[in-house]
Amino acid sequence: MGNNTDHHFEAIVIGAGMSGGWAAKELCDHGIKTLLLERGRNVEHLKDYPTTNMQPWEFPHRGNIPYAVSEANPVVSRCYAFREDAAHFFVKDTEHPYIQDQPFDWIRGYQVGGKSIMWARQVQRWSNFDFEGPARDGFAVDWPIRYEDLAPWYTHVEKFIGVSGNKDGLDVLPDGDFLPPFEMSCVETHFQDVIRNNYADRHLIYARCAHITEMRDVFRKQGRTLCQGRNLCQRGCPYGGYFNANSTLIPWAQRTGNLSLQPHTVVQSILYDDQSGKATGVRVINALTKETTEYYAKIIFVNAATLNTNLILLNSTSGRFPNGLGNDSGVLGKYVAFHNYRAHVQGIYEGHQQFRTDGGRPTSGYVPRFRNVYRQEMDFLRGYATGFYSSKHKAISHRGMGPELLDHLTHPTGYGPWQVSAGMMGETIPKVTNFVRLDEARTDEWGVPLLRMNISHDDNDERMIQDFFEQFSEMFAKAGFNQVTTHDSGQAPGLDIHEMGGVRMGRDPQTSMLNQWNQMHACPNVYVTDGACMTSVSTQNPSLTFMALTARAANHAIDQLKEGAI
Amino acid sequence: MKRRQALQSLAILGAGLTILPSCRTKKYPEYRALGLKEDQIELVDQVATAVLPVGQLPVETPESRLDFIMTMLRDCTSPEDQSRYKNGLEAFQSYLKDQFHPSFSTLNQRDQMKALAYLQEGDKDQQLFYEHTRRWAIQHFTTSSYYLTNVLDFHFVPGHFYGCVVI
Ligand SMILES: Cc1cc2nc3c(=O)[nH]c(=O)nc-3n(C[C@H](O)[C@H](O)[C@H](O)COP(=O)(O)OP(=O)(O)OC[C@H]3O[C@@H](n4cnc5c(N)ncnc54)[C@H](O)[C@@H]3O)c2cc1C
Repeated sequence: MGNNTDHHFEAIVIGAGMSGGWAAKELCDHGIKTLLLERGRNVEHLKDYPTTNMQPWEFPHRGNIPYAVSEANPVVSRCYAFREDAAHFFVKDTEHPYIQDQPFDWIRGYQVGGKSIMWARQVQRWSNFDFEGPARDGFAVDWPIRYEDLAPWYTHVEKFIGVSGNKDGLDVLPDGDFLPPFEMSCVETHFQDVIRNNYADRHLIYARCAHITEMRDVFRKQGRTLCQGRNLCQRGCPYGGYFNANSTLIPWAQRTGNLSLQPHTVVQSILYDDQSGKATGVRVINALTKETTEYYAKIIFVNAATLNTNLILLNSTSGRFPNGLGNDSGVLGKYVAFHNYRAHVQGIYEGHQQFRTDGGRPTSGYVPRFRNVYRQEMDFLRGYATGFYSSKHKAISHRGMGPELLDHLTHPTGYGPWQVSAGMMGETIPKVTNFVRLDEARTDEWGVPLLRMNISHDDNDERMIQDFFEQFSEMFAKAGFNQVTTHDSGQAPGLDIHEMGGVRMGRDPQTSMLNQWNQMHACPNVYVTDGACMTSVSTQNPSLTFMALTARAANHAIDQLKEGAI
Repeated sequence: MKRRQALQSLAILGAGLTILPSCRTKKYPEYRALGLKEDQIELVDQVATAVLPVGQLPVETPESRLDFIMTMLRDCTSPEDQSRYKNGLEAFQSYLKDQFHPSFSTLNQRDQMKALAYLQEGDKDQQLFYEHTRRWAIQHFTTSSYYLTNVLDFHFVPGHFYGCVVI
């Protein structure tokens, strides 16, 4: 157990992923002695990226996942990034089971760095159309903050992580502090023109991504350098060209001397003291020895990623909170939402035949939301953003056998047409019927109850998919794209890896868990700043917003601590 | 404890027994679990070479083509498809025998192509044997350093992106 003083800190952060990394960094920067607890192993930048410099031919299965592994782990095997080069960063289904009352693909990364190692690095800001959405359209509850509250924190985060982008001047997608963009492909530029000429309210932009494209002092201090366009980010980057917690936040916090990082530590619950009306610490289980210990602190940040944060809070029961920490309202675990990633439109483009792209780039095109922005106008609520992808490949025939086949393979017949596709990122509506809860009987190998998932699509999602199909088929036709087809993958919620909610922010303690500073209404020294805090989900990739909310909340906590208010 | 140990050694013995009859290849111990004989494994190699004769091209990969094919068959193929692959391979062996071909590798190229055409037209298992072998031979070749750098525009560290270059 160690001696008792080892177990006292000023702050505890649960989860050393993207958002927990931010909490730790801000707290440590301000001299707060912080214990960062992580259930997985340590992953040190550079040192623990075993595949980062492997060539394609060096993978025994050329990227494929062995049959026995995918059979035993159907959920994680559905994730596009679960391949031979990055499989070691994903949680296998068998390692931490859960119960699907409705199909839900729970994609996780348990290690220092969390999912920030494998993420796709898309970082678009929210606007007030997003923060005002629930109040205007009458769902969920009103956000207790507006864009203006978060804007300086977006900038704070962008400056530190490095974001490549254009200043597009769009009210739906506010500009940020950007590093230079990579070039657009000729087809993106073409499609951009077509959209601009045909639709006053639609735009194709360069999707902003968390990559360094210009050197700045802060990146030099972090020991990172420019993105080389390898597109192998999920392995961890030898240049630190993209942002993950391992290359930036964690070593940064460590250099302050204020961080204690403790891997292999599963937080089982948060301890609550009736007398003081505050949380006092956490009960943890050593992931390897299964030994139980407690740690104590004045403030606690819960950043275990959306659903594990729900799990920990639901499992933190006491006389005062029999239904989970801070759960006076009964909303804990409820109003979970996600992004609808089911729909794609594909085609080919035979124009710009004499052109191709050269080299590599870590991002794509992006069409911000254009539906129901200024007023409700469709037969569904909210809208969708869209990723736009274009590529061109050498035309190589695999026909024949013997010398003929060899000849085909080694003599491409020029280039094929451009391949184009659009992927929908739809906002879903948080509902009381989309929830998670604890199983009453079954526990995992650390004795923690299994989580049960009750999350599904609804009619609003179906109608939005139809509109996306119609609109992008039309836009593709106007752009001269051919062989346009629509696809509904039918995938379950979760595979978007953007699950949010369950511990939502709000103005009213009767209907929400957290206040405008991400503090629990009923237990103000506990802050929840990962995706669990999200009142609604908008259409943008959410992690930039998690990071900005975390940095903002951490600075609030620091002030509160200094004032002795918590 | 004793009982458990006893059960364990029984289990090991049992496993050994089931493996032993199929343990016919001394030369390829890592593919023993597939239950293929040495001459069958070598026939796979010959078929792959006939389907995609890379000849003198400097295709340097960490493993031989046969090793790659056997690895994919062992690790990335369902047990059902493994046994169908084996059936297809066996049927091909009988065909070769029926045609009085002593060994596939000694056939001239025309006869090899004829034999492969037979496989392609054969039953579902023979087709699977042919298609899988062909696919893995192609994959091994097209992911080699030689192919990626000489035929495709592969750069491991591009360091640039141009959105619109003339072909
Ligand atoms: C393939 C992929 C692509 C993605 N692309 C994008 C994208 O383009 N843009 C975007 O915005 N988002 C993207 N995401 C999502 C993004 O990675 C997450 O939103 C982000 O990492 C969330 O940060 P987090 O801190 O909440 O969770 P994580 O980064 O997952 O970190 C949570 C940490 O908590 C730890 N933990 C969990 N439970 C416990 C416990 N009981 N005790 C102690 N520790 C615990 C976990 O082990 C983990 O390390 C992507 C994700 C993946 C996997």
